[in-house]
Amino acid sequence: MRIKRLSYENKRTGWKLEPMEFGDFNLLVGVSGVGKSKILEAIKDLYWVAFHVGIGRIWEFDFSIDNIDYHWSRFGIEREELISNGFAFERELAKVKIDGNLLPVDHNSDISLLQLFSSDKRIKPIFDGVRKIKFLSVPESITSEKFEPDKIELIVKDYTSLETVQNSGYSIHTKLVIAGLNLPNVFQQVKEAYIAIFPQVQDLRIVRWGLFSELSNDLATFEIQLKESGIDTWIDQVDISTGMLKTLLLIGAMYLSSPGSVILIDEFENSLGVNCIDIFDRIDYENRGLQFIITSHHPYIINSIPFEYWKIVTRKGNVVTVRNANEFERLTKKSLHDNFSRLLEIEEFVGGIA
Amino acid sequence: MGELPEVNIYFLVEGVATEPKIYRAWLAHLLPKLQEVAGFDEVEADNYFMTSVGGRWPYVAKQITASLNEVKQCGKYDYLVICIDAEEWRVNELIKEIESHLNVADGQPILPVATRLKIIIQNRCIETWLLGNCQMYPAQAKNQTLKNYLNDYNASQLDPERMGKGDCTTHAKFHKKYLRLLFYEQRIRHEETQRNQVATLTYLQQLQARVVTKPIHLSTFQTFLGFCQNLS
Repeated sequence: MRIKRLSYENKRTGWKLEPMEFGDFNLLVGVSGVGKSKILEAIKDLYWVAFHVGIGRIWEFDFSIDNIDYHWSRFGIEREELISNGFAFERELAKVKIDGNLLPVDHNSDISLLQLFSSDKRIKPIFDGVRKIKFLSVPESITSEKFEPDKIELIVKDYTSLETVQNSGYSIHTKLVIAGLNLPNVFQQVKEAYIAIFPQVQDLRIVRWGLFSELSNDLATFEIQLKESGIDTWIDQVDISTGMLKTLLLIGAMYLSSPGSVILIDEFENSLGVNCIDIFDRIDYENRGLQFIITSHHPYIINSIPFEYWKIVTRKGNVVTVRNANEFERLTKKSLHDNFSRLLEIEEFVGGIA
Repeated sequence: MGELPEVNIYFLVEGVATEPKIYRAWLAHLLPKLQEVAGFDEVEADNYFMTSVGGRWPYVAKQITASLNEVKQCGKYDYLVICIDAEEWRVNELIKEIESHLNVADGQPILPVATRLKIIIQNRCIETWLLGNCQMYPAQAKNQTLKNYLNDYNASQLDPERMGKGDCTTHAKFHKKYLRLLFYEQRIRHEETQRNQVATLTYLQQLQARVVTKPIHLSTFQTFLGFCQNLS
């Protein structure tokens, strides 16, 4: 899944996002309150509506999966369209047409077309694709595509290759555990990337707490421990700082997300310290088919990301507009000033909310 | 009287919202022959380039260096003008600080030979200059705090640049508060509206009138006026 273009309107609140385009890597910048997080919320909402009920949302969503372009639009419960090169699903209230042919039976207009026809082989890739939208947060939420396994021992033998782990549908934490148990080479790469950011860390390992028994109700849990130089004992997961955990999850996401995943991170600097921004240079995410959409206010973060990747967010009343940096003449000019200073010179950025 | 030589000026202005707006508007009247360009390397003749920086001295030192490098790289600037708040600094001391920052490199001046440095200190901040407009002052203040301020130090009669810090921790905070109260008295609470009012020819003329009637007031503002006058 690669999100290409999105416009969104919430009829209940009146909040509206004018059509905006996305690249492989997107850094949403803008003053506080302008709506950066709301854009991520809108994407989260899409994800939600794909699988649940969605009344009163209006959106137009263009994306591609495996190089096939799709257009999905929804006008509350009144209208919905799901179109690609070879087909068109259209709904008006309870009436559904497939490729222009009206179906004889009424369909529930509260549920999205994606859900109604999820097993149709034309729709299934979209359904699977939308599930690849991941929100990186600690604790993880809406990041696993299926229920977490109660007992990892029962499933761990099914995931012995990188591909199977990536496509398992489990949360990043579970994937890290499985990688730690089954994929020593990949786990080693994760470790190296992690230690490069936190030089005080010497090692990472997976530990099991509790006794395993197929028959008993006791759950064995698997957790991550880390070893820091200067400290004899291993540090338990519960004692690892939020920032260090979140960074590990981010690295895990980069290696273990299934190709075609979209990773959303709100306020990158929250928990992910400034030492983490190098991650994007270190790990070749483009070739892994990953798309990133992140937001930040932090000058260091903003300065670390080339402005070709910026999306500058402004708001007028309830309407949010997003523009590429090169749409501002000033930013296309040569300058020896740092990126963040240059951003401060853009009136639309400084006075972001009109 | 001969034609005045063409000049190119690089303005580095402290403040990202208010000051750039004010300077652009006032320069349009004080130095109308100068056309602004969007890129630092685009000046040709009778052009100016303006960059604004957030923060205050010494935090803007890095940006000043970046601007200096832009001036050097372009090679066509006659002046590098730095407009900066004095805040709690004494005017002469701040000028010395900035000059020495720009002169450090084994004792050799960093500024290109053909470019002259002009440091415009806004003493204590640009709002102090704006307090010089006598038309901003009500005959009878309604707000009690403003009344007290006017009683203690009426900046329409006395030099705003010599005004103390009132009930605030710094001079600049007090001067900004004072100005805000003057605007509130006129029922102008929205900052953008305030900015639009000061960034005008009218406001500039009212300040110019003040320094005509009271030539010993607003000395740093007069430095700015004098600089523009010499070039026009």
